[in-house]
Amino acid sequence: MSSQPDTSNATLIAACKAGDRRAQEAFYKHFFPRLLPVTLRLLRNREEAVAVLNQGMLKIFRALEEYREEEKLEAWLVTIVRRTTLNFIRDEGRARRRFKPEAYDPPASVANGALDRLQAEDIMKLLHALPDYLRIVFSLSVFDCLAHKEIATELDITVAASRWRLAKARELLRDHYTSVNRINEFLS
Amino acid sequence: MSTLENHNWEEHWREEVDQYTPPPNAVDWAGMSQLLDGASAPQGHRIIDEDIPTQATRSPWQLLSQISWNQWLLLTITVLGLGYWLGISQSALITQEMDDAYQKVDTIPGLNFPPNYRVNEYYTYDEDGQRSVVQLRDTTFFSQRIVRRAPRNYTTTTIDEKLVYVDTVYTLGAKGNLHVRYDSVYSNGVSIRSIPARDGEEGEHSNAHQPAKGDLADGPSPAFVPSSAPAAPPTIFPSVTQDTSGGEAPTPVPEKTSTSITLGVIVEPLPIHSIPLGADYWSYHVEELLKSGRLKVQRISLENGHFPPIRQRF
Repeated sequence: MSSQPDTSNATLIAACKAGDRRAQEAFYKHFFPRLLPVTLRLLRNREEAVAVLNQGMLKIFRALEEYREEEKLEAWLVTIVRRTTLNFIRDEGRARRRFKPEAYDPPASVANGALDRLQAEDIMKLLHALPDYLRIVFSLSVFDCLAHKEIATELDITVAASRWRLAKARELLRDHYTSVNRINEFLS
Repeated sequence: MSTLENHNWEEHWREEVDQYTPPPNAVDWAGMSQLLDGASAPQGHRIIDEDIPTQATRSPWQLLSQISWNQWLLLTITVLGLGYWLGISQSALITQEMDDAYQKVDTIPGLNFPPNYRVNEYYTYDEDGQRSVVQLRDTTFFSQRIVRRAPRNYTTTTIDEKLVYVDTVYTLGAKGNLHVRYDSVYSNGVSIRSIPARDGEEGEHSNAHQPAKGDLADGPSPAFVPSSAPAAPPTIFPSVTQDTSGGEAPTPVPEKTSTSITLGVIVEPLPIHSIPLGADYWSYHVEELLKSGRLKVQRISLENGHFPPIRQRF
């Protein structure tokens, strides 16, 4: 997806501002693939992620009148969706709760210990197996490249807690993946 | 696992997730469509949401950092030009205010420097030393600059090649003008202040050749110059009139007359443009300045360090 000024985007935005439902659908489907991972890596599952993304899209359609800088459209959209997701997390108190991790079904095609060779869908599965309070910190640090201070501010936690959660998430991801792979190897 | 190893697989994860673009399905758009139907905002209504980044979040410093060097140059020249224009206009305004204030105290604008001094009033003294105004005339001008050097309380000047001693008292007026008060006049080394001239020669001061008021361009007049012609009808003082009643043959005594002399005059120089000083000026303008907000009245208190009882105590 190009970040350069795009005349087709400008036309689409103009039609969306006019309230054209078909243009809004085209806009939604055009940016959905880029925006869904933003919510997906922070939330537990796809349904929840789509629900929050739709809330963010609603804000985007309402705020298109304010938008003036077409060259930064994608960054503008990502920012809105990420803030909407973080607000949802704060409202739900997910950053502090310690949910039980979901069961993880590792892909059989990936070799043991090959964390650096996992594909995106498997990465998402691993992430969703983490407890919320660890997954959110890990996603913000690794994918959104936020500093611990920024994470602490967003989640209303301390910087030390953010550091600890990131380290704990890394440890759990490695251990979880390794142990399950051993079982797979044994079974195979 | 070391930090470097963490970095390796996390970098890989970041790239993978960035390229991960799950397509939407029909259910996703259906949910979105329902949201749009249920939450249609009225046209023209501005939505304020903290999640929406706006351009207004840019700080002025960020905007300034985007200005190129030539725009900086243009901006600097504009600011300097504006400052220069404001300075010129303000100074002209202040000068005009000072001129207006000066004209209120009935002074005469000058033409050249050194200025011509003006003489408004003339006094004479009787034999008891009492001063009385004998002449309130139009302004008389002369151009000599009167300078008194301490510790003397008089100065000398030459009028028509005659040395004249003048006692002066300097006072600084509210507008910064120098007022020179002539208390006594000496002629040829003889004080004529308290002893009126009786011979009618050296003590006579004529103002017959004074220019009319407003004749500044004509230059200094020969006023204040001793002359033989009396300037006013002679006055006979009893104490200096010889007693001729009774006794032996009367000795012919020349008739002694006392003539009017100019002893006390007030000399004001021409306007000097300076910063207004003095209590008189402020008391004159205080109401006007208070109304215009250019003068602030502050009560004396302990907080501003001007509490007289405390100062006096220590």
